[in-house]
Amino acid sequence: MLVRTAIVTLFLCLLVSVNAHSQTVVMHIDRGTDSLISEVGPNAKRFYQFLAHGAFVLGKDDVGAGIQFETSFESGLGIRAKRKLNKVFAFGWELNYNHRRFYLDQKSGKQFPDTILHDKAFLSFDALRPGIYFRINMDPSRANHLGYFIDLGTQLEWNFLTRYVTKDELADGSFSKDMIRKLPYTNKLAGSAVGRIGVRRLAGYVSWRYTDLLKGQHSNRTIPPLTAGIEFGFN
Amino acid sequence: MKFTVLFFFCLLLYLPLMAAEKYWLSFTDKKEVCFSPADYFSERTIRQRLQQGISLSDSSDFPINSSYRDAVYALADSVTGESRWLNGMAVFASGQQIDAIRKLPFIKEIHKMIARVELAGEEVLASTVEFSFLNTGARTLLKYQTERMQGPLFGQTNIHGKGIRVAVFDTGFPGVNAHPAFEHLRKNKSIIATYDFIRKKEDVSKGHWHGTATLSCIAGMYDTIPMGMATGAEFLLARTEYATREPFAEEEYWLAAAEWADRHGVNIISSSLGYTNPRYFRSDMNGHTSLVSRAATMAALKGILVVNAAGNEAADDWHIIGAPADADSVLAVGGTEPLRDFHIYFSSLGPTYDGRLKPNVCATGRAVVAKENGFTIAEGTSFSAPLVTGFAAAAWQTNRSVSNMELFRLLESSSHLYPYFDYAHGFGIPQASFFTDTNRLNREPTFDFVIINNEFKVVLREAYSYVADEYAMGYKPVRNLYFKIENSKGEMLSYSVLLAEQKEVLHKFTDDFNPGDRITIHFEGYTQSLVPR
Repeated sequence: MLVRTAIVTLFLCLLVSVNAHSQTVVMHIDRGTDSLISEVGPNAKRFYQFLAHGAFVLGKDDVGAGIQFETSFESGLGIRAKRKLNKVFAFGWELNYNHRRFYLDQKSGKQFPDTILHDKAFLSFDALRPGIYFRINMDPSRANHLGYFIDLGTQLEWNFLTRYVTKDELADGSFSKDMIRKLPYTNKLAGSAVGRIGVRRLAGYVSWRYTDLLKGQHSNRTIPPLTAGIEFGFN
Repeated sequence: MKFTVLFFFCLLLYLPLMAAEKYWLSFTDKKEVCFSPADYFSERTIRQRLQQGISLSDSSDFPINSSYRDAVYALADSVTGESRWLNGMAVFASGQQIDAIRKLPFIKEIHKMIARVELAGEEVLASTVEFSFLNTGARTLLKYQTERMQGPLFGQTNIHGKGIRVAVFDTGFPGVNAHPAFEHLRKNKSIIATYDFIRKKEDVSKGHWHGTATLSCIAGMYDTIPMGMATGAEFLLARTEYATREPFAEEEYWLAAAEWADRHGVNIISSSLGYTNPRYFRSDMNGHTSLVSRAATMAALKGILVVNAAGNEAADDWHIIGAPADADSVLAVGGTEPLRDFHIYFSSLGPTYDGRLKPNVCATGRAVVAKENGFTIAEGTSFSAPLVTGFAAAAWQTNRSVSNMELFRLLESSSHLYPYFDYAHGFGIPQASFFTDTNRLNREPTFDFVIINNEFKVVLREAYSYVADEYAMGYKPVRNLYFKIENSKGEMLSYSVLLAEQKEVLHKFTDDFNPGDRITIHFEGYTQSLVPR
């Protein structure tokens, strides 16, 4: 009983003591942290941008490996970091997920990847593309905007998923779709040079693959290395 | 087909590069320009300038040289505006055109202007109510918004801003021509002139009701309750702002409206806008970079008191006040929590980038306002600023012999924290008794510093250690203790507000301070400093 009384008394004393020194601070601003300027922004020291892109395939195709340029495309999403050097120059890195699809001509004489003609057939490449770039800004007095810019860069391409997909209409009117994965005649790694001209969140880009995409039995063939399209920044 | 699409896309991208950019051109001089003050200024402006000792033939009032104007017109793509005060023109010009303009002998400087459109900040708006009914909470707020500045003291002596002319620059004033909150203005023909600088028309009823709301905080009435303190003032209403986007042209409109207001003998400009990111960097908030800050400074030089909202960006990355509140001669108004008298979370903080004290004063950041077709409760320093404008008009009526900048200092001195200041409240909320009570008494000490061993305490004096009549005002009076700590160089390290809930209101240890640090405390009108170590 005595112990219990002592504990209760001690608790009450503690409560009173705590209350006596309580100070209800309704506003506190520490200038040490308050005066810090954010270094992140479109024209600040650092900037991160989420992007989507889409492009057509351009160039010349091989005999026997004809490409339907009208329908072939690439699209994807990415993130880009920019580090400001000065008002004019910047550099950065980027990482894109890219899905590229080459629709193949289904005409007599077709040899790539085989001679079988289908209603539709395409090669698709799903890739991760890390890259670096150098940026030239064309309006130094642009405040905290991206402004007009030209980018020159290079990207590594890791094709983690390659597929050959065919589609055919059967005699009964239904469709058949076949898919071959992990194509043995494609390179997993490739390299591209990239050029962009941009206005704020919108940019037009051209990408030129400077390494071969095909190997082995098809190493003498070429898939068009050029794509040109647009990219849009979400922020 | 694909190549056609690509071609047009590339063209689309390239077009902005080829397109005309916007520039501000400053001229070297105003040689051979004729100017007649009597023809240009209103009688009122002339009278006021003579009273304030401001020149009527200052070259900044002269028009720009017409031959310069013609030469620029001939070379530029288009001209969007011109200014006597800043002796220049805003033009669109391509690279070649601007090169040609640059070669003109009378061109002093060319600044590229950001002509892009950005989304404007949003006002946080609460519920709307009908004309006939404000609930108890809203009525309390309505009374508070003027009573906290002791507005009734002005009312009791029939001071309502009579003889003061106020220009309000905003997004438009829909409903002002019919709203019951402004019936007295219409009846007394107090709205002297209106102009929509965006549409170049006199009708200002287009646009967003933000302007209607700010006007109501200066001079509106809800039934018999004043919403602002300048119900007897005269008004010029200028639409200079878009509501949902912010093209740079708004700063030109503001400049043009300020010149227009000066010509019409305006005493006070009230504007509830601010230009910040991404148009400017924080380092541009030095009072002389943005066009609108330079325009506001010129307006102050012409004898006009410029009252501007501090901004609503304390909680954003931007954090600090925007332009034109960054200008030295602009009375920047921050916002407080109603009924609690400390910084409301969004009100932009000072100082300016170059370290000058801002905001200067503050007022409630939440208020009952008139909207196009009713009343609402709205948040933002947009409403703090016009409440102070109304106060300033009334204060100026009490002593017309003071200049705009003298009034500026008096408004600071009248504020409830003066001489204490910090970067959230400035000098605090202006108090009417400063202007109406000629027998102002010095405040007696309300607290003492006590240092025992290494303990540092602030102890309230007996008479101030409890609240005598909590609800005499209809709402619980606030008992805030404001304190700040500055280093030996006078740089503010921190500032705080705490509730004075007990006699030993602040308890620290002397080790909490660096040698030379100074703590300054304000409580119940009394300010005292101490260096604990």
